[in-house]
Amino acid sequence: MSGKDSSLCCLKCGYELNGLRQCICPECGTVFDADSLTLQRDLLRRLWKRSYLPGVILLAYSLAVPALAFLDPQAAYLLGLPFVLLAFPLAMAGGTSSSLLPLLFVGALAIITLNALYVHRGIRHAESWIVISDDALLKMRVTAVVTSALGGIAVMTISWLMSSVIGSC
Amino acid sequence: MPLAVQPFSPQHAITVFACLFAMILFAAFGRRCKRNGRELNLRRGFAAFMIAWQIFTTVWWLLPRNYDIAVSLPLHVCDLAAWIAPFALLFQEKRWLRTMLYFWGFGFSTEAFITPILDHGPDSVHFWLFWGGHTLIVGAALYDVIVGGYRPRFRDYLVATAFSLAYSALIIPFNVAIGANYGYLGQSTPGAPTLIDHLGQWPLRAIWMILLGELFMLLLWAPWAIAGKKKSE
Repeated sequence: MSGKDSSLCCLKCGYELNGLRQCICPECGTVFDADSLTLQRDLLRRLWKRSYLPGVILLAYSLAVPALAFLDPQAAYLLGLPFVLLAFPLAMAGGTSSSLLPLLFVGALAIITLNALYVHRGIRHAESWIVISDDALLKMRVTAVVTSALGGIAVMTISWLMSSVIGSC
Repeated sequence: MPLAVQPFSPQHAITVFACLFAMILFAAFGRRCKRNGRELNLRRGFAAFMIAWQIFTTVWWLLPRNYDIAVSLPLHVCDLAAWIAPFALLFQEKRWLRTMLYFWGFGFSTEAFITPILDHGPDSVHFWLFWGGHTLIVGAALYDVIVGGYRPRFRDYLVATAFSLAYSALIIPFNVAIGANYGYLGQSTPGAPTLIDHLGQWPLRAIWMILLGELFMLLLWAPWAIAGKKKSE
């Protein structure tokens, strides 16, 4: 097994199976078949994706739409519709940019929370099939919070900028 | 108002102890009923009483002589928790209801006991609605933990956070639009001295309040997580 499988543990005793060359747990002697190990690897890989992907997508999207606006404003307008949908009620509710601050904060925090719930659900599902080390679980949760925080802040910042444009119209 | 209960006065302490005593007594009675197999009837009766109380409170605030759009609508966290509480007790299989009762009841409604926002004494309906309402909410949350066996999990904390944020997202624009202070997330501060006075100017104050709310809810989940971990070890 490669270093990538450091979060893979023995199903029987929970011993970390990092760097093993044979499919036998050195702690309790449990023998694994290749299929079960493939399944475990696959589940872990999906879980890692779940922890970073939503945040990364949000961040990439938030950066891509304004960048696209310089190249093709028409396409940026269509792609940026979700921002407009967020910015419009913000502009209507706010009045001044400072009164939007708590709402932007709530929005970013909501994105982090919903992503944490999504990752938590994935972990609960995976744990019924495989044993995952506490260290790996912590890393996944931190990854989820950090990436979704970046994505959430980016989304709310762009929406805030757009709401000031809508508000001034 | 000579009979008004001033914060941190002996009258305040007596009122809080009376409410606390009633809550503990009721929870102890609930445990006894559980052993006798009569707990379900008690729980249903308690829930029915809470619904009746809440209907009375809502109607009373909406009467023309009491009505003021900035304070009368049942939009405070405690108003919502007071409606959630009976249904959480009635529908125990709906975990999200119990979660909201636990986190909003203990996390937010308990603030009313520490820094009450009330300038009326026992000779006023305000007094009884305020203390009775908050005692019912926190009492229901305590009952659910002691008798119902509710134990918060990490997922519950996240669910409570999601609901609290949704509430904030709706109530902040509403407050801004009508100049109210529901959820104490508006631009004004409550008339009585509270923790909110030390959180600076709005809008930063609203952010601090949301963060403090998160901290309270985290502290309400943490002891159970630690106890669960120690138990499994």
